[in-house]
Amino acid sequence: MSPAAHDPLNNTVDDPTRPNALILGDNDFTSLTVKVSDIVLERKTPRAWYVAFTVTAGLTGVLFLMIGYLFIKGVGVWGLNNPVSWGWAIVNFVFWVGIGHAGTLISAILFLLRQKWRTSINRFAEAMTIFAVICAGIFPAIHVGRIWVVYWLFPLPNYQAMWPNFRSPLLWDVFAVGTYATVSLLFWYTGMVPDLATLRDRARGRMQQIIYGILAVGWRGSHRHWHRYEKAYLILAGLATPLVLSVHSVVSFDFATAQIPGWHTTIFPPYFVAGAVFSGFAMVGTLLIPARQWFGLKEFITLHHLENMNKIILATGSMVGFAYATEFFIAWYSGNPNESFAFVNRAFGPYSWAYWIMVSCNVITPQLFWIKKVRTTVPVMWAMYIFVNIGMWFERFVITVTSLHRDFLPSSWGYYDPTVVDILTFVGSFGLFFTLVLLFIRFLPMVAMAEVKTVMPIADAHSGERRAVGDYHGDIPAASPEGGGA
Amino acid sequence: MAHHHVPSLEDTKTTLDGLGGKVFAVSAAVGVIGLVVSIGLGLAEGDDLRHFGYSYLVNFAFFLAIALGALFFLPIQYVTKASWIIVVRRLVEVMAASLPVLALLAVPVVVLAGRIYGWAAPEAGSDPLLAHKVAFLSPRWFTIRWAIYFGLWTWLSFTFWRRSLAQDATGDLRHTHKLENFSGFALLVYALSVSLAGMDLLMSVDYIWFSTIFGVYFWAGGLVSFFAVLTLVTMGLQKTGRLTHIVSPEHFHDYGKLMFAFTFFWAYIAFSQYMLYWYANIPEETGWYLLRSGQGWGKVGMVVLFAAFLLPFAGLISRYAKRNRKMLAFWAAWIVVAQWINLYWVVMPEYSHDFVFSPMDVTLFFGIGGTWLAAITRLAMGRSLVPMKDPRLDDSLRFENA
Amino acid sequence: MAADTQISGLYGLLTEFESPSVLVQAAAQVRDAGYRNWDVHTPFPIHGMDEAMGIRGTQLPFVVLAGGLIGLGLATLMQWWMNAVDYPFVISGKPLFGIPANIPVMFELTVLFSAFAAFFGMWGLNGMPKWHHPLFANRRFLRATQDRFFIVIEARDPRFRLHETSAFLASLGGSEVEEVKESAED
Repeated sequence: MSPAAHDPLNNTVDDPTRPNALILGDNDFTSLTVKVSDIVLERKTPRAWYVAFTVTAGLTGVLFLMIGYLFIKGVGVWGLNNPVSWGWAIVNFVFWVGIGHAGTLISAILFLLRQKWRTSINRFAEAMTIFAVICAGIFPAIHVGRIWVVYWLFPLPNYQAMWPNFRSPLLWDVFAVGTYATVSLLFWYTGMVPDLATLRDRARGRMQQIIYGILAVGWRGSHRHWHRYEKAYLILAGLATPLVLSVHSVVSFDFATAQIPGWHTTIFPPYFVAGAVFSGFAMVGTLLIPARQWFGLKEFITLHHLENMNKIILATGSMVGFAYATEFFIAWYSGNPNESFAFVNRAFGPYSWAYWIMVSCNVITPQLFWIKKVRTTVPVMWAMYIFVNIGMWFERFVITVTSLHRDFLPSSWGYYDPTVVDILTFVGSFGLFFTLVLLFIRFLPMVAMAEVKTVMPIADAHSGERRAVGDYHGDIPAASPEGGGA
Repeated sequence: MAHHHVPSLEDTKTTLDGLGGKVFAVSAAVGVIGLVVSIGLGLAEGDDLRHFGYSYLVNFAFFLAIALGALFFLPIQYVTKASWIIVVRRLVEVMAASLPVLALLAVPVVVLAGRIYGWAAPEAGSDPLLAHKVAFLSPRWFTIRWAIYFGLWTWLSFTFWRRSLAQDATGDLRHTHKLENFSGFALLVYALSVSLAGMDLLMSVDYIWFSTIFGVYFWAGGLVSFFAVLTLVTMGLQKTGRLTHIVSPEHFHDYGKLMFAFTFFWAYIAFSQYMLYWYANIPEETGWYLLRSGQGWGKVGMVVLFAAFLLPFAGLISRYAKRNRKMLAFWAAWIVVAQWINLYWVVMPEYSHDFVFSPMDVTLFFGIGGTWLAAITRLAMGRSLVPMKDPRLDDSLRFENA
Repeated sequence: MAADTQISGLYGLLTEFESPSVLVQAAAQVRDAGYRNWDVHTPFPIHGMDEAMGIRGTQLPFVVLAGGLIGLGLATLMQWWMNAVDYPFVISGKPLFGIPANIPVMFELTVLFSAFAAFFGMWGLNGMPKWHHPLFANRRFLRATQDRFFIVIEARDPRFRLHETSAFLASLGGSEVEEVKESAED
């Protein structure tokens, strides 16, 4: 017996005869409800939370100060220059939108793939999606230059009788990110209503009862409601799946429709999606590991969950590496000297430092997850997540800046440096992100209680028998697919 | 109150027994006759088998893509520890294990390369663009790469095949463990080899054109056809009283979902490739599409758009269609034809800038398809059609869509 | 109608279960007894309950389909009218209305409107928001969103007879049967 078999919190043993338990400890519906909702309702807010909140709120303040400064002075306060007209703002936008993708993958795609382990982490990941998309949305909006006419992005009637240009990928972005934010919010809220009702029914303070009561819209667990609710959830998952594919594809179109070498390549859409999921899972892990530690959720967010996430990071990280390799190969194969130059310049030009940070963090780091020990050791995986976060930010930096700084005309070549405003704005966006995460942890249920209950073994109404209560209305054909003559 | 007990393997026939010999004989005969007739038709064209070469390429690529779809689906099941599919996994294994036969069928492509691929033609040498890629696109390297591809694919598919058969005999769990560990690595090898092979096989027909996503495009189309063929094969076996009861509407429902999802995925990849080249409008990139949107090929392109994406997408979207046996069979057959037309549209414009269609295209379909079917039948003969000692078989038998 | 169905102020009868497996069997019995205005309340959706209760499919997919088609139509018309009719201008040599460039927005609005239809359609069909309900006044019912399982038969059901229905509910294997009042005063 390996030592792992004796650890009650280790459920990463590979036994094909028996799936790993998704919920550990001696938990039933009651204890799960109590443990999760007490974090919000009963437990005293830890002092560490206040400390963290003060720091992140301060950073959020820095973000808004920087934005205010930008509005007053104009985009000249950023490090943009003539060949590099897109800098950190776009890098940060793509970085944050990408982070969001893990939430949708967990909530929608893993749902459609019947991956039951998703139930412990989907609420958290979806929340993170929404906060990341909020952070993302700020950057293109403040980048427009004339901020007072930012509404021109939307197809609104205006005094000049102008309409937006729908043939521009940047406008597709407005629609893609807008739809993504909206649908993610609807999906998240729909999933949360039964849990909000739980909080409403457990709350003792009048204020809590009223607020959670309003948010729970009168949910009372009626099965006639559950029936439509589950259908709606399935449909929303079915919609969110192609949507999440489309969002980062559209983001990639911002680059790939252009003729700039290094941007214009057909693998960009799926490669961006894989990269987004990759970075998103790293961010989920970055947040989840401390959260499960500090709030005593190790029985629900188990090592098995983390190991599965690490496998997805390995898979998507390998896809990203595959895309890098394909791009390089085709850059040579195409015989286009500009294209080959762009790639050689990335690896060995003035920005080679950024390129090699990207490669080592994105290609080499995740490969360590082939080793089971690495996949199941918490501090090690947390370090990996940080590397991946760094690597994926640098990936966007490399794509954006290296392709621009040496364009077709050598006389206009230049070098791009961020300014302090650039840096503080980005740091500030982390402040906003973590502030929202902290508020979520404090006021909303971190684990999807109703969903986790469905995967607990005691939830199975008729184990071992199919349709114990019979077909009432013949919706489902009899179980035997008659072979002959059908 | 219909108390449905979990179906067991005793409820049905799980071997080909008498049927195997018959199917083998008929499909082998169809295959041989198809190939012979095609060669006859090809020689009759009097173009030194040039037209034959292109037609052969379409049909070979079609069946290769299906077998490669199977080779993808196997490791995916192991890495995700999926259980629903286990009851039909042997069929997938058989399709993947047919890859060595497809290696034999690849010989004509390599031999006729000089007639199909511009870069291999004797008069190609002077093009500076080709000189740039001669280290990659040369008959020698092409042959070596195909030997490597088939070597890798044979190794992967036989690893799954042998261990699964061995488990039938002993029920040893170590095989499952080994394959679970092997599968991640197998997918890595698979992704690299299949992507490059797709470019070799189809993209390099026009050696000027390039697209980084092309390997994915080839793979995704093959995967759609594979799910369709798997559906048809399962249904065919059930028609003869095999695998009944144990493969339930729940399993077919999932087949339907996979066909639907990958139809969408394939279209997404196709759109990404098309739109980006349409938008940037660079001559060396748009040439490929220009050829395929004029002079009769444009209409074929529209047929591909509707037949391979819009219609099956609309047809398979509802739960009802996925659970209705006849509709599912219809769309599976439809998808097979549509994906074939897609490959025809990818390859044939390089043979003739005007639309062509010859009986050879059909006879080669039956020639290669018959041979391939004979191969998978031969592999399945004398063996259980179900991996009967797989530890998750029971989950697969009691599987229900939630 | 028997007189006891008109008991004023009675919303219905409620019984409580501790595990989902008993509940499914009990629900099937209520179904077979022919009740119509009744419901099961559970902290999470119970697999197999649709059959046990005899719930038919929902209209929701058609609502979503309609929403999606409206979104698609709107996106197509909007892009065509705005870029090709009302404010036409040539940019980067693209056609005024070139389908490849218009597909992304068509797709996004199809998804957006479908999602709105699914979201509002579901809550609408479920009659929510509904912040007041007689069951909320019941202390035991607070656990319907936590760890207990309930069957409620409403007094307005044509087959409802206070004593028979009460005895029937009691026979299902739950805890004692409780009356739920229409108004929350007591």
